Amino acid sequence: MTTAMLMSSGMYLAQGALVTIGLSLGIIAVATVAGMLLALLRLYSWKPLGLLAAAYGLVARGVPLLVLLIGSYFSLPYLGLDLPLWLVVVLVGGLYFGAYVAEVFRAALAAVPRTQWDAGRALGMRRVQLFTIVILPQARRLSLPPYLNVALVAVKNTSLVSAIGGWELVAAGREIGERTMEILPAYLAVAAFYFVICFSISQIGRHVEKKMRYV
Amino acid sequence: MNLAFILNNAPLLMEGAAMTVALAIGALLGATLGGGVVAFLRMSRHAPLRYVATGFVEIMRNTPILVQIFVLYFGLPTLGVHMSAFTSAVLAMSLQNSAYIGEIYRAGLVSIHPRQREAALALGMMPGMALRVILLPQALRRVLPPLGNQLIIIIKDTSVASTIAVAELTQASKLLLDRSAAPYETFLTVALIYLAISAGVAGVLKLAEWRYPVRAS
Repeated sequence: MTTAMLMSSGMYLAQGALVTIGLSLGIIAVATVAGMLLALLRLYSWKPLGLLAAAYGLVARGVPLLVLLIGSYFSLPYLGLDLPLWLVVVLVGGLYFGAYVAEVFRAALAAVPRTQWDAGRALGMRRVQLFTIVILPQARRLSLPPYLNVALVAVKNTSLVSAIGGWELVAAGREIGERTMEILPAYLAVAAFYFVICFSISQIGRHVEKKMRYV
Repeated sequence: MNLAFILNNAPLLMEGAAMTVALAIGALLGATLGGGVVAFLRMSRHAPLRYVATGFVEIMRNTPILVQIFVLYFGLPTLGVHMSAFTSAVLAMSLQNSAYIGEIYRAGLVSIHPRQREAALALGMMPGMALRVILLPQALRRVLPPLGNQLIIIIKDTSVASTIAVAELTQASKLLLDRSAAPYETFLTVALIYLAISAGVAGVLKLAEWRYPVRAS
């Protein structure tokens, strides 16, 4: 392999990595909103709605993401919805990881001591006020390390997009492997790109956790 | 809904489900053994062994299982190492989950108070015996719940083996999809089968946790 080939292959993989990062950010954004909603439903809403949210969590966490991706990508056109692949990935991935994020938020919200609610109530705060000013900031700090862990799994799972015909880091690696016949180095390079992204996330998580221990 | 189509193809789906379970069992066996090795090395007295184990754990946890399977199945043949798709998938999942399960074992052992070991040694036990009789039985109970969670993840990850055409459940559903125009029936059925497998395993694990509760030490 010449230097020029190495350079252009590296650039090509970097483009794939950008798509991977973009998809991950979209999935994590949707998952955060969906997870917050599900956690609130489970903790503070009318009981039947809470049970529905719990059932959704059990189903979403019991089925592989790949099955959900294949299923929705090929079923949606039959139902008259012709969405672009990236949008299907962001929505389905977001709703799937939303179930995991919901567990993280629920645990963090439940871990804020009950006395915090009592104290806020005693000060005459309204429920919404109390939740946003007192409870949420404390829960946010508690939830950060496990939340980053879900984000890391989400990044790794964007690799499944290549299995339904999408173009991202793995697909870029496959093309380079086929073009140069250097299949093993190509996939190892793909793994290295994932490692850089994911290791950064886990290091941030570790840093936050260490800081929390002394608070 | 086209139920007849699903019923006609039930044998194909059941064979797929059996292959999914076989993959999961293979990966679980490999990873429970490999996890032991990883935990042993991570807690070793010799720094180089610890570094090697830590590096292995970080690499396995920070790269996708799909890429690991591709490296084994498409990459290794260029070095003259050939494996079947099934072997590649089981080996890749065993390696990745060795890292996760090794950390679970380690956390379980570390969570046992050091005084338990001191007390065992004070009673005249050899270090090996203290580990076997005092530490491991306590650690195993604490390890059971996270180990169960990991097993559910393994079951779901077996679906990735469909990308190298292992004839498991997801692959079976893709075959049915090519053959028919019944996509959502097929995928609802497959999702239900996965759900049934994970729910069954989760139920058994709840029973095991109830039978072997964590005792305060």
